[in-house]
Amino acid sequence: MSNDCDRPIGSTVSTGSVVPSGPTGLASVDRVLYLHATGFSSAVGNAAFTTAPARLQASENIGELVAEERRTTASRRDLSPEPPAVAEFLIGLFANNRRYGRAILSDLDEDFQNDIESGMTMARARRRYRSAALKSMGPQLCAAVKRTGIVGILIHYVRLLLH
Amino acid sequence: MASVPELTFSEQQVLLAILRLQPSGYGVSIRDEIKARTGKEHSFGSIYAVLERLERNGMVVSREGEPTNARGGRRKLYFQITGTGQEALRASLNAVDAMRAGLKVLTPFVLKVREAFA
Repeated sequence: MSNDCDRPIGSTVSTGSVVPSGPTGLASVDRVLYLHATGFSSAVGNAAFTTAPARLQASENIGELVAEERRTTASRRDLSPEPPAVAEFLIGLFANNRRYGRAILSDLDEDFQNDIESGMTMARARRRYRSAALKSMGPQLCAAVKRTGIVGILIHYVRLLLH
Repeated sequence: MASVPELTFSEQQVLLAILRLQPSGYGVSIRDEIKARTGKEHSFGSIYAVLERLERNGMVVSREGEPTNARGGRRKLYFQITGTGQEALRASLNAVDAMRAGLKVLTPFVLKVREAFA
């Protein structure tokens, strides 16, 4: 694989060079990092960097690009109108029975939607959802322990893991 | 005297809330009703733990509602009090009344319950 970092300063990347695509399915940040690691600085704006300061500038640009991409991804995750998936999973795991587990999730969803409609920020609504989900786990677990005992709970979780 | 299951305070609260919301009491509305009347906010987990116990003892029955538009059409679970539940609630409240009768000093706790569900 050609590497323009190994080229002497002053030489340019030929216009016909092919930017390596790298392993398929890479996220954009990973792709930028991959291209940088493989030395294809031409990936940034398809520019040929002919001097050391230009290379330094390119390196900084890549850093900014990666940081920007990470910020965008994080804010996209915070703005997603979906409740946190981990909290949902935990409620499903700790719910005493499936029917009641679905009902708890439905009620948590309703609270979440009401929070958003009332003008609350998405991040705060998600925090409230997580908090409500965590508070709901304890009583559900206690009820399950009272009903089936610790051994019963363990058997239930082993069954869940096996399926 | 026929044997009527005894109720805990949280079971009394939930049954009274269901009675007030009849026939469309479900998790959110039950929690809001209890909060509006007593000022205490219970988690859904604790409310459903009580509801499950009541349903197992035949004091409430549940039915699934229509799927909602949000989140892939999850259904609400509506609860209704049964005859057994009403009888148990009446007996439980009568027992509290009987214990309270003649007392001049009422604890703030009993007053609060009395005012909340008067």
